[in-house]
Order: sequence, then C-alpha cells, then structure tokens
Amino acid sequence: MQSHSDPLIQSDPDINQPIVDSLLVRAHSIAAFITLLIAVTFGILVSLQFIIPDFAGDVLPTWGRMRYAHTQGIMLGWLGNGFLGFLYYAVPILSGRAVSSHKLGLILFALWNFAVMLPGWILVLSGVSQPLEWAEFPLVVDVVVVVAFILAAIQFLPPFFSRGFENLYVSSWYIIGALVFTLMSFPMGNIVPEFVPGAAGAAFSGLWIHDAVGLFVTPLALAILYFVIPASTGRPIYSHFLSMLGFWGLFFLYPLNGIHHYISSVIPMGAQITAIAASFLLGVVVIIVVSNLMLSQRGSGLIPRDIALRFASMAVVFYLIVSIQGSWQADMSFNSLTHFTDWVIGHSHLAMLGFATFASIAGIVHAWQRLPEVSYDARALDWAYWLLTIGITLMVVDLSIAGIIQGQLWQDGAPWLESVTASQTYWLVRSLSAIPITLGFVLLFKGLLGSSEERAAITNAEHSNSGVEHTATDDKGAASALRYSYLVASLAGVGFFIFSVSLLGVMPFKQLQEEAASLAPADPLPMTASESRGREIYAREGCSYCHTQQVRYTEPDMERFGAPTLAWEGRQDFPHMLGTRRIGPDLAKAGNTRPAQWHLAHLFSPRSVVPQSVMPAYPEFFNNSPTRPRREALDLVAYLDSLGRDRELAWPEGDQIAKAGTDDERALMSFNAEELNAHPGRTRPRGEAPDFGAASAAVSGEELWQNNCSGCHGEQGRGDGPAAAWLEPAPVDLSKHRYQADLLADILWNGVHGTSMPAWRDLPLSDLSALVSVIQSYSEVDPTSGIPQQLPLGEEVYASNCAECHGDNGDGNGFAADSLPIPISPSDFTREQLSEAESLRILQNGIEGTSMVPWGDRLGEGEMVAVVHYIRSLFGSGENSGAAND
Amino acid sequence: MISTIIVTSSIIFALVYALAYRFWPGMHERVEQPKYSFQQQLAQHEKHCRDGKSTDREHGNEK
Repeated sequence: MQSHSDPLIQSDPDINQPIVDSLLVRAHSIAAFITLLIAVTFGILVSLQFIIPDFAGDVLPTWGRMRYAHTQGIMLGWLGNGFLGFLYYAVPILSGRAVSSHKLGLILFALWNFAVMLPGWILVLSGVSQPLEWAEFPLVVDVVVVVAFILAAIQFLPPFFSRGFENLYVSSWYIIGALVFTLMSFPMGNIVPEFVPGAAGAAFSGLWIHDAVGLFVTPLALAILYFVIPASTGRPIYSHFLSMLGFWGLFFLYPLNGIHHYISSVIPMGAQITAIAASFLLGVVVIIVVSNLMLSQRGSGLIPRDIALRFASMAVVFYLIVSIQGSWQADMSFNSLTHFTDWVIGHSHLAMLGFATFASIAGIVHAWQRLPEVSYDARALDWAYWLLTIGITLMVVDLSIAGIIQGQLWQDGAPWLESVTASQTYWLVRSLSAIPITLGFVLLFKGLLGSSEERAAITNAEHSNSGVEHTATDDKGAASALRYSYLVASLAGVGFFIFSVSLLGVMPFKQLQEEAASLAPADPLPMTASESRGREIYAREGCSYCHTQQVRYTEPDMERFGAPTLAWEGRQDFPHMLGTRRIGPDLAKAGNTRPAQWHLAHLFSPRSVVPQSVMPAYPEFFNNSPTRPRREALDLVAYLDSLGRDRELAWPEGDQIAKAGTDDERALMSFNAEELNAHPGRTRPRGEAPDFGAASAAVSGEELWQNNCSGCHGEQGRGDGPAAAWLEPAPVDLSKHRYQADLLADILWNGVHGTSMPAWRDLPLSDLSALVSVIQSYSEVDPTSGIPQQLPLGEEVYASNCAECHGDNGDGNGFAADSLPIPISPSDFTREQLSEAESLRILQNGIEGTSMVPWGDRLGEGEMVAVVHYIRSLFGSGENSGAAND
Repeated sequence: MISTIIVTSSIIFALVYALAYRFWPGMHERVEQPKYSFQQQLAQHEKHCRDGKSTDREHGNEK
C-alpha cells in the first residue's frame, strides 16, 4: 500500500485547491434531465407511430420532424448538458485551476439551451432543418453550436494549459481531445455536406456521424469513467499506460471509421476498405480500454454499492458490447445483412442511451453527491439504475433480433411489406421498453432533486500503488523526452483529424468528381422549380430516415432495385439523400414507377392504398382529399417522379458510351446490371408472365387479397376500397369482370401501365397463383355468350367503331392502340369478359381516366346492345385463350 | 495500401510506446504518475468537502 506520503503522489507540487462552480454543475445537470425527458418523449411518440401510424397525427408534428428533434435532443440537449455539467465539476479537480469565468459559464449555459436547443427544436418541428443524420438542426443553429464549442474551449482548456501537459491525467486528455476535435469536426459534418453534393457529401456526413460518437460523445464519456471509477473506489486506475494507449488509439482510429456507414455504396472502395480496417483495429483498442476500466474496478463487485460507480460499471459493459457490434458491422457480409435495418437502430441506442447515457449519469450523480447543500434520494437512484438497465437491454436485444429478421427477408427477396409486418411485434416491444426507460429517467431526476436528505458518504480515499513500486525519479532524459512527446502528440492529434478528413473526405470527393465527370451524360436535365420545392419537403419531413436513395453494390439490392447508383446520380443533391435506414423501399429510382394519383392517394392516406404500410400520412398537403392536392403534394410527387430520371434518360445508349470509356469494376457492375430499374411494382408492357404454378399453401389467397389488394379493389373485390374514389381510372369491380387466368397472370406480373395497378413481382409465384384464384372467385359474370341474332350487327358496329383500338379480333391490339392520348392498353376481349350491364354502362359513359370515350350519343341503343353481345362472344376466341384458362 | 499503413503504423506506435514504457529509465513512473496525482487531487477536494470548507465558487470562494 502506498500512503499519502508516497513521494509519487507528492511529486506534483502544482496542485491547488480546486474550485467547483456548483451553480453551473446544477444548472447544466437539471437542463440535461429536462432536455432528456423532452427528447425521450419525442422518441416514444416516434416509436408509437410505428405501431399506430396515425397516432395523434392531427395534433403532433410529422414523424420525421419529431425524429429530428429526438436525435438532436439526445445528443446536444441531454448529453451536451450532462457533459458540460460534469466538466464544471471535474476540470477544476483535474487541473487544479478554476474554469475561466463564471460569467462565461452563464453565457454558455444560456447559449446552449436558449440559442441552440430551444430554437433548434422549434425550427425542426416547424420544418426548418437539414436532412443529415446527427446534424438535423439547421445551419443557423449550427453556427451557434460552433460558437458554443469555442466558448466551451475557452472555458475549459486554459486551466489545463496553464498547468502544463506533464502529469496530465487521462480524463484531462479526453476532455481536451473532445473539445478540440469537436470544434473541427462539427463544422465539417454539419456544413460541408450542404455544399458538396451526393455521395461525396455523404463521405463528409459519414465522417461526422462517427465523429459525433467517436470524438464528442465517447471521449467525454470515457473522461467521466476514468474520473468516477477511481474516485468511487478510492484507488487509482489499473494502468495509466493502457489508458493513454487507448486514448491515442481511439483518437487516431475513430475518425477513420466514418465511411463504414456507407459500405457497398458508390463511395470509392479504397475509402471503404480503410474504414473497415480502422473499424476492426478500433475494436482491439476498445478491448484494451475496457480491460483497463474493468481492472480498475476490481474489488467493487459485479454491482457496485456506490450508485455512480454502478452506472459507470454498466457503461463500461455497454461500451464493450457496442464497440464489438461496431467492428462486426463493418464486416462487408454482415453489413450487407444488417445495414439499413433495426440492428443499426439498436446499435445507436446502445451507444447513446446505453454507454454514453450511463456514463453521463455516473458523472452527474457523482458530482451531485458532492455538491454543497444538495440532497438526493438514493433509493430512487437505485430504482432508476435497474429500470434503465432492464429497459435499454430489452430495447437493444429486441431491435437487434428485428434487424436480423429484416435483413434476412430482404436478402431472401421477400415482398417488402413482409419485413414491415414481421417487425410489428418487435416495434411493439421497443415501445414497451420505453416504459422502464422513461420511469428510470423520471426516478433519476426525482432522485437528484429528492428530499430524503441523504448525502454522499465521501470516501476517505485509500490510495494503493497498484503495482507501481518505483518512486519518482529525477531522470532528466525521460522528463525532457516526455515534454517533447506531449508537444508531438498534440500536433499529432490535429494531424489525425486532417489525415482522416483528407483520406475519407477529400480524396473520395476528388475521385467521385472525376468519376462523375467521365461517366455522366453531357446535358443533364436540371430540376424544375416544382421538383426542387418537392425535394425541400422530402428533406424537411425526414423521408430519408425511412427511404434510402442509393442502390448498393450488393446482389440483394441489385435484384430488388436494379443497377447500383453511380457517382453522378446525386450531383444535384445538396445535401445528399443517401440515407442510412430503410423502413420503406429505396427510392433512388422511384420516378416513373407509380402514377401521380397513386402517390397522391398514398401521401394523403397511406393505409388506404397499402393496408399494411406504416408510412405517416400527410393530409396537410391536401384540401381534404387527394383529388384536391395543395402545391406541397404536387411538388413532392414531382420530386419523387424525378428520382432516377437522369439515369433512365441515359439508358441504354448513354450508359453504353460511358461503359466503353471506363474500366472501373464497380461502374461496370452498374452498367452491366440486368435491369436499370428492377422496382417490383413498376409496370411493364403487357406480355409474357412466368407460370405461377400451384397456389401457396402457406398463406391463404384471401389473406393476400386483404393485405395487398383491398385498399383499392375493396374487401370483396367490388372496386370500392378506401382509395378507389381517388384513383382514375377507378379500380375494377371484379364482380363484373371475368378474366382468363393467363391475362390475370399477365396483369399481376406486369401491372397495367398508366393506371394505379402496379406489378406484383415481389410476391412469390405461389402467392400470385393464389391471388389469381381469389380474383376469379369474385366474378359474378354470367358466362353465357352473346345472343346469335345480335352478332352480325354487333360485328359491324364493332368493326366501324371499336376495332381501331381493340383490334379486329378484339385482342386489344388495334392499330391505334399504341398511340392513344392516355397510354392505357385497350381491353383484350378474348381474355376478359364483362357483364352485360357493365359493358353497356361503359359503352354509354366511357371510362374516366382512359381513352375509352362515351358512345351513348353516337350509337343507337340497338347498336350498343348488339356490340355488347358481339364483344362478349369474343371471350375465349383468341390465340392464347382456352377453356382451361378460365 | 492505406489500410496497411494504418494498421502497421498503429502496431508500431503501440510497440514503441510499450517498449519505451518497459525499458526507458523512469518512463514507467512518469507515465503512471498522473493517476496518483489525480488521486491526491481527489483526496484534497473530498477532504475539504468533508471538513465543510467551501470549494464552491457560488459561496464566494472564487479566486
């Protein structure tokens, strides 16, 4: 044992009595908990809307805006305030100097909470934001954040500088590192992507996503752990050598991880491999850090009695798990399974709500217990610990399982909605996990403001030498070398940042620019004013949180969405819209996939069109009906319809020219893709369909119908679904139609171009077969053919008036069929038969939204009856028709 | 290539640091010194708290 008289301890004569500004510790701690409760409330509302998508939709801000408010609230409101509160307590003790100024502290507090958090929330909730992950507050707020970071640096760095770097404890290193690096990385991640488009901007954005965690949150959380653990145990940490090895390892490697958020994207492979290597190496460094922290707690038991130490201890466990997850996620094959899934959401919650939050709580509680004239309720804090541990563990385990299931379904090529429906139970559990988490936070807050008058049992710290047997030496060689090394190390720290930005930001930017210049078509179409406005709406509503705009260079992505995204495709995206999560499908090639009416109906009431959709509704873009859209709705649809247009215009001729001029492996992979746009719902020309085979035994056709078709065609196929009234042409009333199976197969496989009837290629063939049977079962058409006496007149009327569109044989291939003003193929009467009454009605009134005009004022009643009989007699007469088909 | 440089340089840095820590005279003590200094600072702070002497700027103790 080493006593207070140990010469090692007494060798630092420059230790002054620290001065703690308890007012600012308390102010930031209370602000931290208030902003935490607000941010968590946003998170709960967002999670509830996954289960009940229309939950309080008419009174709450839109889903995307609340999601923005949630993430920024957690990072800047909760953790930012929590860290600042801890710094006011720790910096004077670590440096032996007071922080720079009490007044500056008050200004910083006011700035952080009333010029960053409050306006930031108000702005994003009212639709002023930037669609960048962990950078959602708008630029005007970002500028204030930068000013606040400068003030924080002025407030907290001078005490360390005035003391000198020698003998600097590891927590001090982390604090200095976090303040300096965040000051550099925050503007880089929040501002640069606004001026660098597409994938190149995403490279900078990816850097920030990781820097926010690795250079802001993690260093300050580790500073707390390295402070609280020895302070609570009363023993020095196990090894300062290992802690410094970890410090430099983390600061060197964390910034190099950023691109692992865009693995298999268009970002140059060299940058991706660098990020992957750095991610694995980082895992090794984290194991060193965690081992040191765990060894520093030896003797405290698995669940330490000291409540601050207990939170710190759990933070270490969470840190180990989340870091191993992080390294694992960088593995390309595992990344292709889990990226864009809830696994990543679980991972980020483990990082921010698990590791960082527990560390922050440890710091706040530890400091709070030692403030003068402060009481706390130990029992409430104890309960808070257990509730938070259980809640966060439940949430992370739940989301991790959900992520694996979602990823597996996507890889298997299952229908998109299957991943949504399979997630419902997990989303419910995630929302339920919010109960213990919220209760835990409330109890924590209550515990700190509690009145049980329990004061911390301030330990009479027993210092042990932890194996250090040497006393301080006067070795001048080592001392001078160390002084020199601190200078080198400080410069190296800034060098790391510049190195990482050059390597993973600037170099990919240049490469992508070159690639775009050599492969892009010569005269791209600029976005129209309407499309640009639509893009702003897409950004402000957080659409990119659920819809990516990047087809990755992976087999499952190519099979589902088509050719991978090339670098130039995002050249008009300021900032980029690549996205990091897919609740809904990728939209990089959404243009020309659905008709405008479908989009309008879907935006107004998603579940009317897609019964199992969890997309938020946007009725505020309409005057009470999708048939009366406001400008926002039209702009948004215009934007959606523009996605992928440039590439489509370049295909295939432009792509062939570009292909001839490149030997880039991945560009060739994109050029050689089987289909440019493989969207399963995209309509194709009527033609061949595969043999569907036997009907699915696993799922009933009726269930498939209700889940996929009833929104438009109604529960019984009578064309009266919730969305029917908004679509033109209206969905078919299947009770009045009779189809041959091959035509139904054709329609289900290829859709009906020009209508809202999509293709259903993502459904298994056996499911499509079951749907064919269900559709045929809805028909109430009398199969009796026309009355023979009516046929000659009917044939004559048909030949003079109908054949030019519907064809001489009634097969829908008339000479005018391909040049109709509304490009919807005429009916093929050889394979589709309408009831007599429905035929007459259509003949009389025409079909709105098609080229079928009313004939009631041009044909006599007898002529109409005759032609109806003739048309009905054509059923089964075509080349492809046959009784077996019916 | 770059990833090789990163991995190699990280390993070299760690090795050099570890060897210096182990074999450079006085390095071991110098590197470990801050954890003891920190412990002393903590002890002083808590002693003052325990003795009821204010270390709180709120209570007029600002220098």
